[in-house]
Amino acid sequence: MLLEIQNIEKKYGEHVILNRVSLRLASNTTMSILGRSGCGKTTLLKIIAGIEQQDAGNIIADNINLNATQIHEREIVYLWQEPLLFPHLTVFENIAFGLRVRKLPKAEIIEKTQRMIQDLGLEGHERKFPNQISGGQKQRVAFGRAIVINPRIILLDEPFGNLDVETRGAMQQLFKQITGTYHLSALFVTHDLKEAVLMGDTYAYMESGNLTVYENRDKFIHDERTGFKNEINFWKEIEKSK
Amino acid sequence: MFKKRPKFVVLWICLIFPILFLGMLAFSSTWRFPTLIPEFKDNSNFELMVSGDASFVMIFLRSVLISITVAIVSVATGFFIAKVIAFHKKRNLLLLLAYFPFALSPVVFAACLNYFFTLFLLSGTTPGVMIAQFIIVFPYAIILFNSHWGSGIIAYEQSAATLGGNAVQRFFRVTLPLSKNMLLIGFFQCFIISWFEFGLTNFIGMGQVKTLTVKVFQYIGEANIHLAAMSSLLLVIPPLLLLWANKKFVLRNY
Repeated sequence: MLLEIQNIEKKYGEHVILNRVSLRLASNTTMSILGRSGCGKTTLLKIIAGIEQQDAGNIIADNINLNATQIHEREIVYLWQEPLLFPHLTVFENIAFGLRVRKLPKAEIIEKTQRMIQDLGLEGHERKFPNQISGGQKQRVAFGRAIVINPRIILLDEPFGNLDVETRGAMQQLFKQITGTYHLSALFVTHDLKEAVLMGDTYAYMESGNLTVYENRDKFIHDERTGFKNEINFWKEIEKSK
Repeated sequence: MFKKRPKFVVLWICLIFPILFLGMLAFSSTWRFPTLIPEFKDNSNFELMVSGDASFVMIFLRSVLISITVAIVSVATGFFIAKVIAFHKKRNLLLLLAYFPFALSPVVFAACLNYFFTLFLLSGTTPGVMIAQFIIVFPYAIILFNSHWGSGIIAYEQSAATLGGNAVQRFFRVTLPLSKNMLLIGFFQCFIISWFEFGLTNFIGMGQVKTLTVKVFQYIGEANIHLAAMSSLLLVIPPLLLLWANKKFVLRNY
């Protein structure tokens, strides 16, 4: 098992954010975590990345306990809802950032970055700065910057939340394609039911700090809390009213 | 530009005239009614400006040294301590403490601190004046940088960390470039506060540490308008240079 989260607990004062959360993520799979705003999804991802510290529980990756491992040594990349591209760096330098801090040879950095730019369809934008490209392109650069360093796991915190419907669809397809090409393992957090179903290989639902992991997609969509049935009923009613 | 926008002419006259007037007063020796402009009988003011230990050049250089040192130390320490405060549990209390030196008059504040300066033999010394000015400029730097740390820059740092950047790499590759303008603005403002500081400097300096601002007040007190103009002229040079640098290096990025 690539990632194992064991009984993670987190409280802010008396308010319980995460209540003994556990999950297992296999290599080359994406787990979708569905949940409403404020249910604890972001806190869970930040704890896995090392940005926040849990009160109790273990984070184990490749059979190594990461509890005491610093953020930059975890090899786990966290992607915010905002692309957070470094505004003083070009598209090329943003993607190359993780390679440069690893002090790889120059030729290797150029080769890997160029390949990533091609795979993401960003040719011609290499020398542009983040304020010169569109929202979708920014998100592609953020993906590229994360993937190029070949991390253990990518944590995606509603990465398409700020995109319009069309760009969002295109980005979802691109992400599926890229995860296949680069054999990525990811936790994908979203509040959008359709997106959760589309992006995941395995599924989980989070509510008030409690995580339910499903054995398969059928069990996920048949759990009333996920809202899948309501969605189906809504469209059926629309159809009937015609 | 001036032909098309006559308002600029008026603005430039308003800006330049006081400086020209100061220059005229500084290098003149007398100006009695009904003479229209001051008289230039000799170059005694200019000689006074460049000669001896008590010359304006020496005082100017000492003032620059004090203000640059105070500004650099305040910005460097204030930047990092503001980060600690911005994410501290007792942030509001610590910020309130940072406002404390501004709640008192600088002279009253100096009187409160004077005992310690005397005890450590710092009264009447240049390092003593630097420390005294640091005590009021440093909290200002903290207040200034506190909003900077709250502006989302920490998310960029965290992003760089998850991409593998260690603390040093994060600082030099992300934090510093993103904070460059804010640091420059902070330096300019801290320099200006130190440069024009009078009450604390005069009290802790005990009249032995002469800065240009102290000199201006002294000459005004003596009703010596020519030497007051001379020191005022020197006094406005660094702020004008900073204003120019601010426009050239900082504002162009916005």
